[in-house]
Amino acid sequence: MDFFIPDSLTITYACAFSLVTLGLYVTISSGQFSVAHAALMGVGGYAAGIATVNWSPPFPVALLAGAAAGALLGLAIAFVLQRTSGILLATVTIALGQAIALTIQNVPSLGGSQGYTGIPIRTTVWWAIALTIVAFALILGLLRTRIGLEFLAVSHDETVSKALGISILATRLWGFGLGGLLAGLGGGLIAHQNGLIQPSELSFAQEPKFFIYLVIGGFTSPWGALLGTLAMYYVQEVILRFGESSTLTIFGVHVLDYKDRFWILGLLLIVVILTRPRGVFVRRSLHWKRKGGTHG
Amino acid sequence: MTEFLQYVIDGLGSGTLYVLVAIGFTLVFGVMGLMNVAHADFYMLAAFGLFFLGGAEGLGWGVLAATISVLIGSLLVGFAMFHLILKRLDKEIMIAFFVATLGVSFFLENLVAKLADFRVRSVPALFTTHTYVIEGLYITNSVVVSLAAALIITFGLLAFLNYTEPGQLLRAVAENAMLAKGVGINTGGMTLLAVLIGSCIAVIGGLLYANTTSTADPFVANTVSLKMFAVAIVAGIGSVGGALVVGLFLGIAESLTLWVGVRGGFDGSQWQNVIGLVLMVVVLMTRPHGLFGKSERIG
Repeated sequence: MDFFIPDSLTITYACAFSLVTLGLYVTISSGQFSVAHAALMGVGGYAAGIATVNWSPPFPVALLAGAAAGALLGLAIAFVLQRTSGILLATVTIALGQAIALTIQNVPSLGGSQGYTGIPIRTTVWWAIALTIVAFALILGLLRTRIGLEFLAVSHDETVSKALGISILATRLWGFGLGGLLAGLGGGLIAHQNGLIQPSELSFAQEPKFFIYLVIGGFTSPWGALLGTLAMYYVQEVILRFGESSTLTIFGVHVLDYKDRFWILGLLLIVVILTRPRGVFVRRSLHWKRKGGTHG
Repeated sequence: MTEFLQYVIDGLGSGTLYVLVAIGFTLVFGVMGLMNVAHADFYMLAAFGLFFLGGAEGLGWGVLAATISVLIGSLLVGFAMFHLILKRLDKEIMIAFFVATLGVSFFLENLVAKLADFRVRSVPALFTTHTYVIEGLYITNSVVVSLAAALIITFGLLAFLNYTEPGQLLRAVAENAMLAKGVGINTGGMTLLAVLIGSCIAVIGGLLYANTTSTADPFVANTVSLKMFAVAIVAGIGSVGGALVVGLFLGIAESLTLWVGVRGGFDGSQWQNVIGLVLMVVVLMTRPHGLFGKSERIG
């Protein structure tokens, strides 16, 4: 098999998914374990698509509408769930994400379960790359500001952070708002690439994908989120390409075709977690002060 | 009135299946303090075990042999899952635990889906369906069997947890794993026991579910796991009796949504799945320990 050089479509999707994964990273780094980012992405996609179809604004404005919708939904979730944390927060966000998907599915004017169609295809690979670079640079910068440090403090110890005068609510709003903004932006790009957006893209079934990208890369560092997504999306596409040309069969079952990529990714995720529980790229900053700490 | 009762009976049928998946999940959650997202996949494994081993399209062993193999297989899968993955995970990193079991679920679903060619398959029936008509109500024997199974298993498990020594040790671990370890309880072994009990019960639920729907869907866990979370959390983590009450209630409430839909002139089936989610959010915001959960005690 030849070395697969990613085509522009692959790069576009990889970048759009990177934005969502970066959003997930931002929310998780603020100490909130969200499993609703597929829903935030989808809502962004719907908002951007609706804006383009109804008012045909310039492309950046439509993307902004998607990002704003994602951010608002993120803020709403953070506000409503300000007292829930840990594994319970994860579970409620699963429920909320699924409820959002079901609600959208039940609104006829949004196309029901068939999805919202007829969105003009405006996303180009350059938009995707440029937005990813800008977003990534902003996140790297953000982590060095007071907000970034507050994220770190709150995610390590909420009580101590509170005692130090950090507003937990403000940190949570920042974390979920920014996370939703990035996910919504990614959703806008994907909606304008596919030309449609469907409720199934918001569902719980889509979440493992982003966790695979984030956790294999490493959820303690933005580099992990970015490189994890790009690498895993590439691996996924390589398996897809390899599968198309493969004729390997065992017991008459065609081995390694494109349908195999998901279980391979699942297996890869399990192996990475067992061997490097914080992912491949681990943030080392601030750890020099600690002796033998186990926090991530 | 007859119509209303008919919907209640139909709801009991699906409610029992939620109970059977939620019991094992809540038991493991109570003992380990962490959720095993892959638990709902035992439903899928049971259905496909029946398809691959028992069905004419598979090995054709017949239903009885397939059922027994699936039950033994569930213990093997539970054992493997515990030794290969659950016990090796760093519990301090909660996200790693959650995501690893999410990965297991993703892996199992897509592997089985690949083997089944990404199609919903039909499975052989466990027993011939018979419908009793009592006072105008239609009651199928599969509802009766599911309900009996759910009641026997729940009360059997409660008796086990409260009146036998291993059950009490299990509760001790759930209450405080560190103290339990301190007094010499084999916490790892108890966790394994909880995982094995949970997988066996879930597989029984899966077999009954496959029998009711006569289908095996590789991605059934996506819907089942949401009900499982809802029942376990609304009941309170670790509350086995609570899971019975809430599971049956959820099944009936979903069925009555259809009834309200028929009466009110809208499609209730579209809103069925929202009930569990709404209940879960409301309970978590008002009573985070759940309706029946006291502290950490199970049983």
